[in-house]
Amino acid sequence: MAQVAPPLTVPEIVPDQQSDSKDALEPGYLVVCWNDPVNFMDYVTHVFQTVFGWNRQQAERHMREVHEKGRSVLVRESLEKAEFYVHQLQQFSLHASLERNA
Amino acid sequence: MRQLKATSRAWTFALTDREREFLLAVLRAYPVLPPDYQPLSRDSADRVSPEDLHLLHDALAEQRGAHQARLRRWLRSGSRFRPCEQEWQFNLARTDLDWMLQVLNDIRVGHWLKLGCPEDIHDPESLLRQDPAAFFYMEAAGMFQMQFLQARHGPPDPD
Repeated sequence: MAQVAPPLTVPEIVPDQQSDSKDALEPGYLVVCWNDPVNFMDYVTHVFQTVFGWNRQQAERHMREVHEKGRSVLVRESLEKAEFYVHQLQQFSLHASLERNA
Repeated sequence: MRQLKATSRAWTFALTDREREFLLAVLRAYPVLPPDYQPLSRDSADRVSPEDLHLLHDALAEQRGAHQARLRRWLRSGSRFRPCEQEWQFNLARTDLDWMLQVLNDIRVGHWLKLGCPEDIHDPESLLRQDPAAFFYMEAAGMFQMQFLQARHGPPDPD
C-alpha cells in the first residue's frame, strides 16, 4: 500500500467574512404581495397556488386580502428563501417585495 | 376563442381568423416590461444589498430571454395552428401553461405601465384616447389569459 506523504503546508484558516449571518438564515423576512388594478384575481390565485403549492382556498384567502387590504403577507422566511419567492412572484409580474420582520 | 377539449396533456381551442391574428400579434409584442421595473424591497430600512438587487434583475432578464427564445420557437412551429372548417385549432400543452401566462401577463402589465399605471382600467374611452395600441394589447392579453385560466381552473365564481 502506498504511503501518503504528510502535507508540507497547512492551509491557513481564514474566517469567511461573506458567509450568511445568522440573521439571513432565520425566518425574519416577510414576502408581501401588493394590490394593483391590472392583475386579475383569478390570475393572482393561480400564481399563489403555483408558487407556494397552496390549495385554492388558501390562495384565494390571500388574494382577497391583497385585493381588500392592499397587501398580504404571504410567508415568513429566511432572507434567501424570501428573495427566491419574491423572484418567483415577480416572474409572474405580480407586485411583490420582501420586508424585514419587525 | 373557445375550448374544444381537455386531455391530461393539453387543451385544444378553436379560434376565428381574427382571434388567431390577435393572439399572434399580442405574443409578438413580448417582452414589454423592463426587468428592473420592480424593487426587491419597498423600504430602504430592509437593507437589501445592491448585489441582491442586481442578481434579481439579472435573473429576471435571463428568464425573459429564455421566454423570448421559447416563444420564437413556439411561433415558428408550422403545425401550431391547424385549419379546421371555418376556424383554427390549436393545442396548448399543460406544461406550457405557466410560461404562456407569464408571457401574456408581461404584455398586459407592460402596456398598463405604458398607459401610466391608471388606477381605473375600466374606463376604455379615456385609455383609448390616450394610447389605443397599448389599450388593445393590455385588453387582448388579458382576454387570452382568462381563457387559459378558465381551461385550467374552470369558469370564475359569480360575485
